[in-house]
Amino acid sequence: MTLIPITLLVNGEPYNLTVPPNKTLLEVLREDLELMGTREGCGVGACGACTVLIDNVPVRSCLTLAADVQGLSITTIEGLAEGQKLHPVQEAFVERHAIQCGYCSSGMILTAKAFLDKKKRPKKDEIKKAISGNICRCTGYTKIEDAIATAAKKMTKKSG
Amino acid sequence: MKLPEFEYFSPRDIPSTLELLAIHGAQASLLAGGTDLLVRMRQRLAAPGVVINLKDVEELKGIEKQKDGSILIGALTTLTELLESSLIRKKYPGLHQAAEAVAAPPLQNMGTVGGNLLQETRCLYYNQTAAWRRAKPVCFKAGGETCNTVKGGKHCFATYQGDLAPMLIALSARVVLSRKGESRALPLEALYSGKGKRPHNKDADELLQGVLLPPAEKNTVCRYEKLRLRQALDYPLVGAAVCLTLSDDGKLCKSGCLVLTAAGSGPVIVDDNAMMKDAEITDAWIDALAEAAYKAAKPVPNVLTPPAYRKRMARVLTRRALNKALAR
Repeated sequence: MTLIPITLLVNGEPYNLTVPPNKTLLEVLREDLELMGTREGCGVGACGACTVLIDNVPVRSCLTLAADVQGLSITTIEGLAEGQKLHPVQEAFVERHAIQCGYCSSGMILTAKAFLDKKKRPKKDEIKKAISGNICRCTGYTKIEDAIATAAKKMTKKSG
Repeated sequence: MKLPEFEYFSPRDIPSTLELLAIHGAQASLLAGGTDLLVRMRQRLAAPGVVINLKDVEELKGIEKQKDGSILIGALTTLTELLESSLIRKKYPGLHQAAEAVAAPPLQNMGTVGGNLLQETRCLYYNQTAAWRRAKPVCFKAGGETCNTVKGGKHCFATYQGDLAPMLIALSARVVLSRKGESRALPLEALYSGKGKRPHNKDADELLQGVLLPPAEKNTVCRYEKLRLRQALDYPLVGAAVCLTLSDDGKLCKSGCLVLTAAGSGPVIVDDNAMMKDAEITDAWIDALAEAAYKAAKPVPNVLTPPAYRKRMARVLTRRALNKALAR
């Protein structure tokens, strides 16, 4: 296999890497960049634990080749907080106890963040649909939905 | 599980893609959204020597109205782009419904129209990890001589579970296939062989360039109904797509098409202008179409729900799709 030189823009930082073409974005994030916040769940795109944002769109990093996302802006859970200040979605997940085991949380939070950036005042059904591709085996989803509704309020307040 | 090794190409335009296909065709796989191919590669159901990434071929993206009023949807258009198109939502609402029914939003962000049409047939005993599959005899689809679904089956019974194809067939869509030096358009239904093992009539050196939708006709109504256990992520257990062109007073169905998915190894056309040509719209007519769907559906026990239930649901979904399309 010919190795491919790539530049990945992760959380605003450029990384120059040489990767085999069969390496997924998930593997590069965890193994090469040691960003362990992105999880591998099912590995076949069904669970959403590995969700990252590419140009602020949630995608499955387990089904994305690292070589395919050269030059695109990638956001992982590590890129949401500003210093010690959590992102409003993260704050809301903590406040509303929307995290139990935490395995789905990175994917849930990133999916919710991208959704709330587009939708300022979401209805309950819209929230449910937005996270319908992310599986949580602990919470029963209710607290996650509450947290996203809370985050929406925080974010509209913040933007004025 | 890591992906198997392959050589990787990322062409920028259609001619260089066709050139690569002419050279590597038989051992190459085309990579669009990756939500079907990369899963099969991880499970070692596919191990192409060459992967040709299409994401940088801009010519394959987008939805464009042609001079004659038809619509060309590029094969690399994502399902999210299809859903965000006001043209599709207004003129082809049935297609909007079908795209909305695919998996879930993050997968719609990745999955493409071309990839959806060319998704492989599936089977509970085949779409599993290599370790899982070792517990069963090697089936036809995996290159063996047995079917793990149908006892004594003489061929592969894997199920076609695409959501877009039934609606696009009902809409009389055509697909454009190209290879180096030539291009052909064919009705979408001709893309499907109806065979579980090799479900598509597409040569290894051919590229699916796009889908052509005929101009939207006045008084046309469409509807897609899908059965699944969860309201997200799941493939259809059975699905029904209808498209009807009505008379001005709405009492007559002038022409129409009814297509099922997950009811065989390809999309199943139940009726294409036979019962639906110049038919008076009555309860009895709807019942007769629902009955025809029941008879045409040939599910086998290779998804989570039993075939008898899915066969009955083909009848229910057909009736539901017709009633909703006709706003009865």
